[in-house]
Amino acid sequence: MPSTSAPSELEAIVHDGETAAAHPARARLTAEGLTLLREGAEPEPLIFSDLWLGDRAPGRHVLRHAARPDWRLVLLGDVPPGWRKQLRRSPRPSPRRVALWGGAAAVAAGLAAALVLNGGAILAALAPLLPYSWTEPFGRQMVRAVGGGNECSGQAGLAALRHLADRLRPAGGLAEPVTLHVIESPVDNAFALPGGHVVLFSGLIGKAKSPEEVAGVLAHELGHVHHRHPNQRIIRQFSAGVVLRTLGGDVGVLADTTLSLGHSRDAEREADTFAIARLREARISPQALADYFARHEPAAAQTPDGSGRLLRETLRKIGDYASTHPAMASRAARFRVAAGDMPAPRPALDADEWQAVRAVCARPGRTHS
Amino acid sequence: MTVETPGTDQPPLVSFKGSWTEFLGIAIVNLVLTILTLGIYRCWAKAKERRYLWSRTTVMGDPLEYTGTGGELFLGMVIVLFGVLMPIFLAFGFADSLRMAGHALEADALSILLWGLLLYLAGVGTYRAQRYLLSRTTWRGIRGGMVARGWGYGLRFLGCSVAGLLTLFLAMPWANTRLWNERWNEARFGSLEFRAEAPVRPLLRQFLPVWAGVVGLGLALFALSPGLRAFLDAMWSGEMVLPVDGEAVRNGARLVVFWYAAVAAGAFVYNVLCWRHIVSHTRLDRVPLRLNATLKDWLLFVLGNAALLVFTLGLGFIMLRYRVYAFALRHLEAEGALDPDAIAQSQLAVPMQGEGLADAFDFSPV
Repeated sequence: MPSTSAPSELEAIVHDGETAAAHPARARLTAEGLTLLREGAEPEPLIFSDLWLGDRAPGRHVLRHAARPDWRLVLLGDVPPGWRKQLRRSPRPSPRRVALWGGAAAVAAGLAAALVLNGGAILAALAPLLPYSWTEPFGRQMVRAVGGGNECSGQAGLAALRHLADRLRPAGGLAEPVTLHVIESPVDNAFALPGGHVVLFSGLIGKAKSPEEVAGVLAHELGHVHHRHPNQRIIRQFSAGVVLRTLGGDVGVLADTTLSLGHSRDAEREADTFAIARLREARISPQALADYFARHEPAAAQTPDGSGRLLRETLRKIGDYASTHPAMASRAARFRVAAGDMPAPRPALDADEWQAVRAVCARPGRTHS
Repeated sequence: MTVETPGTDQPPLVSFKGSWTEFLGIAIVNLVLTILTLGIYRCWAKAKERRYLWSRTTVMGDPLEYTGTGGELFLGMVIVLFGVLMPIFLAFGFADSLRMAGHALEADALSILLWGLLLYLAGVGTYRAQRYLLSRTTWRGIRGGMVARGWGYGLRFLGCSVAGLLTLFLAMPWANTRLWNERWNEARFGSLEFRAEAPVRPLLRQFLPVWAGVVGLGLALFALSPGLRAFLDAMWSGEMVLPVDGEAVRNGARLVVFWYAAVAAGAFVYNVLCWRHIVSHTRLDRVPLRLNATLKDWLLFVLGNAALLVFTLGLGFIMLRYRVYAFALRHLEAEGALDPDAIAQSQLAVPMQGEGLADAFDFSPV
């Protein structure tokens, strides 16, 4: 080992931090640190605990001093690794600083862990804090933005849908009063907005094979209202969403998207659970919604072909992970199972009501075919 | 080693000897850590990358030193997020609810006020980012700084931006030189002063034909192509359905795209001219600076960045900081010499946190 015979004295340059002048010096390396030798000055002992290693390049090490922020000692030539190892790599932080950063990091890590592991429960607890008087006009504004002037006003149809919603309401009532809207659009979809606003597109009603399908979709959207999922979404976006997107930059945006998709899928499952319970209570068969989901499954996944099945399953799982809703097939299966032991289902709407719902967007003076 | 030998071939005052492979190593580790921390690590990543770039930059043979830390950047970001951005978001939300409640006029007034505030803060952020970077740049133990804190600069920035918009960007040479001069006349390195005296007229003379060409082209297309007018009509009225004569309108849409490309080309040429002009009218004490990048250099740089992103499916973005820094430093000329014995330490106040504002507006290039 060459450690004992290593050069113990190095060429050095001192920058005193007062001017940019370079003062030539020599540094004698010792077991406790080094002794700085400058012409015309007393030898100055400097101990390891006061020094730390700044930038370094081959043949050039910059030493910095804990108490003199602008002072630099540049060691030229080879510094023995054994000696160098005893230098700190960063200034010794003050105890107050350690406590501050440590505390902040612990709080942040705790919050992050709580949000990742239990974010759904936290949001569910916070969601009732948004008052209906605030969310209702907000939701109404969104309905107007989506629907424009295309909101349907067939009174009989709307009344039938309201009646259906009443049948699906749990005994204790929903978390928020519900306002139903039908918007004329070929889109086969429905959604719940803040303030209890539920929107059905006429495309969904037109393509429905039975009133039970509409009832199933409506029960699912009422589940969102009951669990205040739109409120959770607002809170999420304005808290964790804003923090991640701002502090985390591009990667933060990606992280936020992933987390929010996960939350969205959980919310869909919750709404499905609600829908199954309410449909059974109302004696409406969940089978129709199972059919609806099966119809919306991408065609490729329906073919029961054994070859390449593992790959397809894997792709489906990845697809599930990257989507807002759980895979249609797994949802259809849930509703099918729920329909299995259903005793004597009753129709969701009678023939007249169903006729009125299908004509809800028909304008007076024009007959709907 | 670092002893200057006068008389013989004078080495360049400023030089950059970084290697992209070394930087790539740092950048990959940073990317992994940034992903693992949901993006929070990027403050520390930025500090590390800057420390590398600075340490490979020498002035009169001695390297620069970057003394900023990730913690400072993070603190700056948290303060800006909770102290500035969140309140502004909430105020925008309040404006929305005013509009919903039927107070459209008040809502519009509040929105305009908030946009003005954002623009003002963007200016303050630019100034403070430069102040922070100078204060964290050390050479031979001497650090830089800025005389002011940027609150007044923000007002000038707001005024210049509004003037630029109102004149359809014709006022840009005036705005850019004015703001640059103000910012660099208030910059110091130790006891040395930067001086920026970029005049408006030469830049305006160069810009005028570019501007007139782009605006004239737009007017000519508008006057000569009925399809373009029909397309704009359809856009303005918000009708998604195009009028009957589809082919003419489609041609109009193509002309609009073509004109946008002309605008982008004009803006690019102006940026090249502007950077060369303002840097080349700046000096540090008695050392004049010059940016010698030609239009071709800039084109190759921008195309290189695009190629880097395309061929790495975007992952190459981790090298952009290196490319920007290397491009600037390799084209920066500084002739003459500084007298180190005459440079005393800066007496300016040192900011405590990083460039949170500029970062929030995506302003800090390095």
